[in-house]
Amino acid sequence: MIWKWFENWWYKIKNIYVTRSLQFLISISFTLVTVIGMIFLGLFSYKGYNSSSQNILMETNQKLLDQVEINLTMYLRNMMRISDSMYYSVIKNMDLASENMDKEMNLLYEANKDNLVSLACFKMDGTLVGSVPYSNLKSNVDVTQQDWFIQTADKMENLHFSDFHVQNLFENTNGRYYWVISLSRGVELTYNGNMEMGILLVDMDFSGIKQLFTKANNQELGYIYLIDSNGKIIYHPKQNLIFSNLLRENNQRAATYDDGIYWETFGSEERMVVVKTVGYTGWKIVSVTPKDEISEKFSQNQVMVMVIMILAICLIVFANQLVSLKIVQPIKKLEESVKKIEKEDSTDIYIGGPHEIQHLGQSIQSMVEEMRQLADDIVVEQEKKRKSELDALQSQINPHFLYNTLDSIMWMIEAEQYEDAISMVQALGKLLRISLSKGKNIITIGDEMEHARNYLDIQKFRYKNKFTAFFEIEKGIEKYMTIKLIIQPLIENAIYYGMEFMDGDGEIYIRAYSCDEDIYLEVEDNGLGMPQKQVEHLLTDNTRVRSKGSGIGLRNVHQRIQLYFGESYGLSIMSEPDEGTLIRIHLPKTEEYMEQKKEERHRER
Amino acid sequence: MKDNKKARIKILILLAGAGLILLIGTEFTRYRKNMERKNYSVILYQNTENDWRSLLEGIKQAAYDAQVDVNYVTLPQNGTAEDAISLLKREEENGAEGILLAAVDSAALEETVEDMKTRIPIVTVETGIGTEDADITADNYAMGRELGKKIVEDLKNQQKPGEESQEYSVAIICEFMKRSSVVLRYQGLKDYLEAQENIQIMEWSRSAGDYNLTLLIEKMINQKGDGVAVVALDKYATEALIDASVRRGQGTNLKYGFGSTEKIVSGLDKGNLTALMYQNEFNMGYLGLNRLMNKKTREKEYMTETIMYKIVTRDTLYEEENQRLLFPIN
Repeated sequence: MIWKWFENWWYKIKNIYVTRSLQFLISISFTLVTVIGMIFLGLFSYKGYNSSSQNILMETNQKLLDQVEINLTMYLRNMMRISDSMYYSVIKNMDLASENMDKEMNLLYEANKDNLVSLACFKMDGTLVGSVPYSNLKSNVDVTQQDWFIQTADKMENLHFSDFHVQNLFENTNGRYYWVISLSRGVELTYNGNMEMGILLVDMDFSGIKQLFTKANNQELGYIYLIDSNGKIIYHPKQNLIFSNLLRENNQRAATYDDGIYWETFGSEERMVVVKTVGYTGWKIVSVTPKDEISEKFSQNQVMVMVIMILAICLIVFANQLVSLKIVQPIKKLEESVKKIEKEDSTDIYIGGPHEIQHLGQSIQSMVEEMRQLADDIVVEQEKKRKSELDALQSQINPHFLYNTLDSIMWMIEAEQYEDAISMVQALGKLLRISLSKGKNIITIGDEMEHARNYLDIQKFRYKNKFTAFFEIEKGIEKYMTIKLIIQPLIENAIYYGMEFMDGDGEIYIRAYSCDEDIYLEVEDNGLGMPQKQVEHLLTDNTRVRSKGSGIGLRNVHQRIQLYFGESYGLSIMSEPDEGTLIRIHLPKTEEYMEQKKEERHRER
Repeated sequence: MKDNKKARIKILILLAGAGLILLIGTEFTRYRKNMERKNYSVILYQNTENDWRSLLEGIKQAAYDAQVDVNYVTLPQNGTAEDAISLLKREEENGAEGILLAAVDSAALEETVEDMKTRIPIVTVETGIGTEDADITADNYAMGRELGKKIVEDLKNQQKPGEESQEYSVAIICEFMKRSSVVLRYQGLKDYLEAQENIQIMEWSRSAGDYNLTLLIEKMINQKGDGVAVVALDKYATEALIDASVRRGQGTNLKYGFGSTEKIVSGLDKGNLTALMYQNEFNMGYLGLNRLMNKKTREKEYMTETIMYKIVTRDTLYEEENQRLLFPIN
């Protein structure tokens, strides 16, 4: 079902696609290819960008953690240096039975009081040996029970960093309480040359560490917190929320991580965790960047990329339109010029644009010219063929006439009318000479009239003087040219159809006259004539079967004249039943020289 | 051909314009989102200098997390219900999205607050309106009972082994009883103590001529002697009790109070208080503003959200949990 739907859909799309213009096809194809390419490129670039951005983010976090770790280590080392100075420079060189460490202790405190809350030294029973800036221990405090004291007493040789806590040692008059981290160590106290163990306590102000981490947390993404080796939070930007159980942190898990980058899911949140261990203490600095925050940051870029892509696609569509127009323009021009050829009689084909289109244009032009030439040749060939046919038709008349004439001559000889037979033979001889005319088709009007006379002479013998022929020839007209044997068929018609039923009173007038640049030859008889309807069909109806009276001879003459001299020349027939018929030949006034040239050209073709 | 070209240029300009509008729109929306921060008001009564230290920290944290602005208004130390009403109206007129209120006078503010609640969201903290607990508070009645229990335990512990049971006196400082929170604590305490044998309850309060509460307490303790256990139900009264104790010098009176101001915590640390009842004010502030941001006008009332409370003595003051809740990390 789905496949069929897809097939239909594909067919429709294909159909739309193939029926559009070439420019549209090029433009849409370019656009599709480019857009698909851009989308792929965009996706891969975006993925690559995301991946590299994530790597950069990881590196940045790691660098930030390294920096925080350096700062924190420096801070702790400074505290350790204070502790060392106090121990090795003061306590070790002092017999406490006779000396007091308060002065030296005070100097050290004053030099470092920005980061220090107090310095104190205790005997192992908790007795205060010396302290700055406070000197009175709280009455209700048992120092030996405090965590830092117990831890140090347990391992005297080590330096110990405690949990962060509120200092609970001294009476303070200002009512202020300090969050501190206690750095404690076992020390050897000298009393009258005797060694006694004690504990040196440096209480570091937690605000120093807090400031350090607050600065580090001024970053755009994620946050950094600090835990001790057991996972207990020392610093967290949302410490109060965690202590109030309004927020949870995955600090216990983070305590198990070695230094490095981890992806973890905490609650429903996926997040990137970078861990860095602080020297001396085993504390861990943990950087947390929720994946949502990373995605949100990238989604801002996503919108930018989308907008840029849309703009780029718009530009590409526009550019493709221009390119396709540029490509298609020569083809369009070529198509328009071909259309013009179809509509108009023009051979002007557009030749331009790229090499291929130029070649195509040139080929089409030469093809058109050749086709034109071929068409012209075919027309000439057809004319020639028709002339040949007409000439052949003309020559078909001759044997029939010749047979009749010879038959008449034979009867004259049998009837011993030798003089008449001789005259007839002479007339026939002249007739044949003119009709041959050395193979020429164009002869002078004089010769044509001579031919007509000879023919009439022969016919007069045959028709026993049933009619009388009159020649009315304009003086000087004989020199002009005509196609041969065009009067004779007209006279033949007049005799056959006009004179057959006349008893000696038949009259045939043969006239030749000129008018301006035209020559008119007329054959008029006073025979039976024809109705107008019949006259109209004589020169036009090709379908009629040849028979006596069909007018084929006339049509033959008419077509031959038109073939030689053009459509404006030929025959015109005027007839009235019982009145007679006038057939007029219209010819151009052409002299012998011009006509010979024309005929030679005609033959050459 | 020329028309086609023109049309194409128009389309290009149109598309480029659309892209530009989209880009500017996105940036503008982001900019407006950053710029249009909601503004809430916090109106608190004030009796002592830093009454609300932890509560304000909680509100600030919530405001930071939700990226909203908060306008803090505190009444003067002797502020009245009228002062509170005029502040409420002023904040409403100033266009606050909602008001977080610690009522100075639960009964007197009831009508005004109920009326305003139809227009803007109001959430009460610590002290509620009328006779009920606030929206966000510890269970004041239970706190009163719990403290009563502690007092009775301490009194019994004072009794030497084999000694016959004697009658104990417990003096309750009945100040600031216009606040429902104080009344509920009083009721809880009184109900518990009354249910015990050999407990005599006294109620101390200022009458005409007693301007200074500290002096009144000092006078009353001097009158009643070291055997009387004194209970303050409010921060100011507790601080006054500490001051009176300091003025008298270390006595053997059992002294109890409410609150977590620096002075009170220090008073406990120095032995001027026997035990202290405190509630997690950070939570109160944080949850209060969060509820306010989620609340709408005319909305069905939420259930009261009860906050953790705890009794702390001088011995347990430095326990980890107490440290975290009573000592601010500077």
